[in-house]
Amino acid sequence: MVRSYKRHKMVVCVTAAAILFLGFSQKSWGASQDKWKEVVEAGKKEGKVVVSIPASSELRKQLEEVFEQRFPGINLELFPGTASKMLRRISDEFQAGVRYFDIHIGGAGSMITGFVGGNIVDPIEPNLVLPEVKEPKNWWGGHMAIDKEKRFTYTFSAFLVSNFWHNTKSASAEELRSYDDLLNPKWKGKIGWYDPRQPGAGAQAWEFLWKHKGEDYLKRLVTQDLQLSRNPRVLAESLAREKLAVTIGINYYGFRSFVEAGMPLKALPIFKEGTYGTAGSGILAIIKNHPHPNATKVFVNWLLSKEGQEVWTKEVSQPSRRWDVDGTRWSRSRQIMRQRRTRRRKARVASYPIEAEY
Amino acid sequence: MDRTAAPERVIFQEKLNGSLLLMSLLLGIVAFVVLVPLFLMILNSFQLSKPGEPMIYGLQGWREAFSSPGILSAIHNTFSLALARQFIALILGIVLAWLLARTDIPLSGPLEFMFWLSFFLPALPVTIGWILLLDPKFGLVNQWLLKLPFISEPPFNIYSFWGIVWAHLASSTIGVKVLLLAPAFRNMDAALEESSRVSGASAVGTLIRIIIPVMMPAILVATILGLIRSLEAFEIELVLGVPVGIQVFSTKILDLVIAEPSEYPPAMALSSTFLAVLLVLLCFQRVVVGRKEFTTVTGRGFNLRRTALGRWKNFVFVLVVLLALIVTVVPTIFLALGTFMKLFGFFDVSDPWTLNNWRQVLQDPVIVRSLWNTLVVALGSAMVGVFLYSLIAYVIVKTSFTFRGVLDFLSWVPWSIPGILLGIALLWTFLGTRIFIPLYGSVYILMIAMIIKSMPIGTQVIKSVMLQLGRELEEASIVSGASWFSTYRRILVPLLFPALVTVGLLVFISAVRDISTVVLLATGETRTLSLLMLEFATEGQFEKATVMGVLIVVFVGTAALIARSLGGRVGMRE
Repeated sequence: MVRSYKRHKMVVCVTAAAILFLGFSQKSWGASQDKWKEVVEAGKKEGKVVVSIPASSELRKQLEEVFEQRFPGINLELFPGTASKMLRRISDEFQAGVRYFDIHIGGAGSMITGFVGGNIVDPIEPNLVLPEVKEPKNWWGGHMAIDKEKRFTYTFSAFLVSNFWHNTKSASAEELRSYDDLLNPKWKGKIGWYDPRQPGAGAQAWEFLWKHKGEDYLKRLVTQDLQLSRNPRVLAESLAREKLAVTIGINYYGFRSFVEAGMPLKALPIFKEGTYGTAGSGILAIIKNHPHPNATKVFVNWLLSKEGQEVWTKEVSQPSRRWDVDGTRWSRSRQIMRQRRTRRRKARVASYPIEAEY
Repeated sequence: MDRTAAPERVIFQEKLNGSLLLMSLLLGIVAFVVLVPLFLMILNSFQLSKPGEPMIYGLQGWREAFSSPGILSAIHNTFSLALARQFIALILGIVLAWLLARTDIPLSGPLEFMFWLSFFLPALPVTIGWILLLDPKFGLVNQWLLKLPFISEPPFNIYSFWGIVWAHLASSTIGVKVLLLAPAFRNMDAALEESSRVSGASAVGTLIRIIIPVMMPAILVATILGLIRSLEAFEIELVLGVPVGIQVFSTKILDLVIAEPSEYPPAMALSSTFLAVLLVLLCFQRVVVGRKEFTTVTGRGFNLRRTALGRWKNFVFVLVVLLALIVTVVPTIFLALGTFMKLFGFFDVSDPWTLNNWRQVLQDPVIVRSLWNTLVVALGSAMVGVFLYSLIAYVIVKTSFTFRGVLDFLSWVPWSIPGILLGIALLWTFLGTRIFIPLYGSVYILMIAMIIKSMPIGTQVIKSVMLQLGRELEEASIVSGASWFSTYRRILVPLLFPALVTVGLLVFISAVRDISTVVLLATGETRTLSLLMLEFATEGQFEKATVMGVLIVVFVGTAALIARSLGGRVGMRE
């Protein structure tokens, strides 16, 4: 009887707790939903949101199509281009008091030196509305930012870098298992590098090798007569035509059309010394005093939602940090994705070096 | 008598004051829109702070610019390449313009149009086409020639000094000379040639001793245009020169501009060289043209009879056809082929052909808007531009306005800023001027930018043709009781019409093809076709960029056909 009473008491308590919890969470969910509806309606009144994105016409098309279907009445004006061009324009507009752009999405270099350094960005957090976006446990590693204050940027993409590619006709993967193998005289004049003197994947590779192999290694590597270019297509063509045997600093996206056409170009397996992580172009910042505050909130929350991140991952081939977005469905760099998933299982979050870049 | 004369003098004085006011206003507007960007460019060459930071001024940019490694060889390469191709192109251009405009060569109209077409073709895909033919390793022409028993090494190498010169000549350098010189040649009274021939001179002798000296203003404009444009050209040099270590001035500037973050101070400092070169060229022009008389169209009747080529006719015709085919058909074939290839230039991949490039470009939702924007910007800048440039040219040539020399100089100034940097200089100008702020982000700002950019060529081409027109025609009209406007409309405009159409077409083409001037001013809503092409090229989608290139060629080709028919209908007829 006592047992039955106790059991009954426990059931009542659990039920009451569950009702209370559900009540609270429904209330909070309901509040969030109400707020979200208000934001969307206000966004529709503003009519548009202007976003600078990395140079990709497919990304532009897909973002525009899916977003405008989801939020009719808000025109998504996308401006693809290089980060340096966008930084110049947005900062000059800012200084002149002209407010045209709302959001910039791009890589870490110009984001830190230009947008955050130039003090032309607003904090991210007040713009996060949807619970699925605000909840840190939905994101691998929780919320991440690359600025020192962790307020002005949002890093939504993360992956291990695989930007050492080879032409399988002119260099076999077995010959290139270690970074030291690049010093083989056989590769003199045959190594192309996405110019490391400018921010980007080429510079990141240079920095990684400088940290892990040292300056002497880089000095010896330079004597290999490196072919530098700021045009990924030029390097990709040179690799395809066997003018180069290896390229550094260009990822799958740069080789996509060549791989799809059946050219013998492949990413080298990760060197025995390891590789590093990056956010790629998946970093978001909101321009200070942006002209369309509500439409901006709508876009930011949508982009960081499951749907937005799926569009991003599919078109840019850079995996999302959202746990519920399976990048392997779209990314051709499956090996990298598999490694990332293994890392997820091991949950070695602290060792992930994205923030270590700064 | 005195009573009637005094009011006339007052009216004349009022008219004079009115026109003086208008001319001063024109001078003020031109000075503002061309000097402010130049001033900002020079000022920013001393500005050292990064975007968003407080202003700091210093000489570091200049020191970096002129002490960077390889700058001397870049300067040497720039001038030697420019002089080599301009020398060849000028000779060919003069001969071709004379043949097409002044002789009885068959099919002169279609042939001239073919040279126009070569000017419309986008440089990048055309250069890739020439690489496919003349690459020392896999170039098709080299491969064919190596099959001959007496050739053991590839005879051509596109990646060389002469390879770059060839690529320029075959893309637009010859075409633009024909485009600029043919209208001026057409305005020449055949009586001058006939007098020379009657005096015993040959056709070539007449060309050298009579025609070229008379055509000197137009030839000088074409030469200065060519030289300045040669100094700032970078697309071909980037593809053909940089891989073999041939750096030029403009590729150095481009390196600085596309760096992240962009290094504008040294880029601006390097660009100051353009201003110096322009000043030297203008002084040269002043010395050569001076106060000489270049009138070829007078009130004494006008003979447009063409020179007979005689027994040379067929031979010359075949040569001109061959040249026209090389500069148009060959690159057009490669341009068209490129749009149907999975990978531009890779014939050895399995199943190299595809329709996907066309499908994806034509299904892009922004294509229609971009087409409309292009049409609006190009038509608007061509129409307003022609009106403005003809006004400027009129004041310079036909009035005694005290500051007409200053106006003449100012009309050249936009060329003192290389195209790569004109865009940023105009962005600063528009952002810093209240009057332009309401227009910011609209197509009108793109129109204004294009009108400023094309001012030198537009004004100078109209000016060079206006110099050929004698005063008698206008005086006869005014004596007959016509007003100034009536004289302008019924006498000057018909005489100038071929030149006005050419200028309108040049501005139109420039607006359709331009990237560097408008790239920082356009928005997602005002994106033009060329900016869409840039978008594809930036992400490495050359095949889709080539589709855009073909669309642009079709666009400007259609405009050129309309312009030619319009020019023929309204302008002077033989």
